[in-house]
Amino acid sequence: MEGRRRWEDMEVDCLAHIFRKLSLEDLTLSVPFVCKAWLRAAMDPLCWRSLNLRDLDFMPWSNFTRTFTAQYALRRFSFSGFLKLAVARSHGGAVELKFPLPFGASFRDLVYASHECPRLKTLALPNLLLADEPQIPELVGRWKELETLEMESKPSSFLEMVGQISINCGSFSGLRMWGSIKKEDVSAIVDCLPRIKHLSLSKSYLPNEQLVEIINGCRELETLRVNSCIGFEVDEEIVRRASGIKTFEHEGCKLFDESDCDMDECDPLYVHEEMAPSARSGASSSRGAASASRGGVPVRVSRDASFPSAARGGVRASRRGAGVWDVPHPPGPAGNINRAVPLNLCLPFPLPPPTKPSAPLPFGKTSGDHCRVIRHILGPRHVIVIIHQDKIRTKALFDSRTEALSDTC
Amino acid sequence: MSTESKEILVGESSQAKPEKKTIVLMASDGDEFVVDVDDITNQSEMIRNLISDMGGTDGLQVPLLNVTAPVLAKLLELFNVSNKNDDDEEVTQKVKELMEAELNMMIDVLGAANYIEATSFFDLSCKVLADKFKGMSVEEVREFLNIECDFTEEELQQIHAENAWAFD
Repeated sequence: MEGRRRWEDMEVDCLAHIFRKLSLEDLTLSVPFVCKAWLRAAMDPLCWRSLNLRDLDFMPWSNFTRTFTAQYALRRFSFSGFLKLAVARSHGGAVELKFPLPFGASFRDLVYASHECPRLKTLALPNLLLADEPQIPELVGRWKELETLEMESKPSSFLEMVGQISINCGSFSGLRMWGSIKKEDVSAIVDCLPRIKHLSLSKSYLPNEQLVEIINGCRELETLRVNSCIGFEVDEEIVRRASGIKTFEHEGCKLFDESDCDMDECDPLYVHEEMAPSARSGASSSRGAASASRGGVPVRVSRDASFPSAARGGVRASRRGAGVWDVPHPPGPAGNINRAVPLNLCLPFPLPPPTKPSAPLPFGKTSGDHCRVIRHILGPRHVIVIIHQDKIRTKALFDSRTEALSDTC
Repeated sequence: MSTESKEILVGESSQAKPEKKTIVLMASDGDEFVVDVDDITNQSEMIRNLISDMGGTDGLQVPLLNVTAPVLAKLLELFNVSNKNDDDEEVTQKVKELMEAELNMMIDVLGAANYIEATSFFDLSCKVLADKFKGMSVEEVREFLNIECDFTEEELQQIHAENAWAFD
């Protein structure tokens, strides 16, 4: 068995290279405790260059969290603690940092990372509160070596952010996000990041005109991903214009969203602006939502809004992800529009148990141009936050077991 | 043990293209391996740099002090597989087989690949080795790879204590 004993004797350098192929879960839970040689190798900053926290489950009851807490004999586990540990082991050499989406990371963690991980080339942002978004541009601008930035929904401070990137991040080459892509957004990309190489705007509302402007304006694009977008259909003209782009993906794009009431597949929670209380409790499931619409409540989903069915398709994908969706005010005479607002499924912070069912929630009228809905889901309970014109208008707690909707604030 | 020169031509036979340039790699035990320049520089950054520093390949002999003849032969054999195939599938399979059959040899090959900076081969091999025990618990790793725990209970406690600060 002499041959098999050699694992311990491998050069630390080689071991570290092997370990960097492992997940952070392996690097924290198993590898360091195997033997002394492995502990030494696992402490090599090389293993901690790529901090992909997105693949870990930081929910308080997850297997990972529980095992980690036991293994390190902790009184209490926290995401921030784990981040500090991983960052400390990278000795400032981390080049990739991907924050988890659904749960755990806060703006404070992002600020911490901006101080401790100055060499990042790839950054995937956590979901942040709307109130924190104005600070994203300055923060992102601190990473001078940043090449790739990923985020879920387009932040309200997108234009400033692009400006900061163009001033500070000389090697910037890749951006991934989704949302309602407006004319000014595209102009900012074209003006500030004309040399961008990889752009992914899948699941966005992206009008034809904007797509064409991107293709015309960003002449060095190698990858353009606009799958499942609403707002354009790829025709010969677009294909011709995009012929210089090596990878141009545009699967499932539609000019309009046509499948308004067919929600069985995506299981979103739809809350209607003017939904009667009885109908609202029926909106607990996809079927409920669909039947609510059939039951005489006029639900018109996103045919008009820049709220693509793609986003609904994205509900399934982002079920463990999260998000804040831009729900621009639909065109047409205000007050005369019945619109269902699909709520994203987003994971939470620990929530209090649901309180007693209460009166219908005062869902604000979307008279402005911008209404955002965040939904946190925690087991059978969800917190729904509706933000309108940058103010939290409504917070509610929804319990899918009892279908009770209660006002928590 | 043998000291005679071994002809291991990586890639095409030298007779087909007699103009092909070769260099000689010398293992730590003195054995010589004649290799095709393109094929070796395709893999080894160190040798690529060396050739460019020397300004040519004429009569170039590269002593590899840390690599024994059997290990070098195995490494060149794997390079050969890698050079012949555009995708990594075949060479991944070979590395897997070697790891299962002769772990000792695989570990030495890995060290040699690291030494001559055969970056992509080294990277691929590390991935194969890592896949072997990823997702396993501490006990499973120890048992599976037959590694003995050399920590005392106090030392394990200390590792815990050293990490607790982050969660305070």
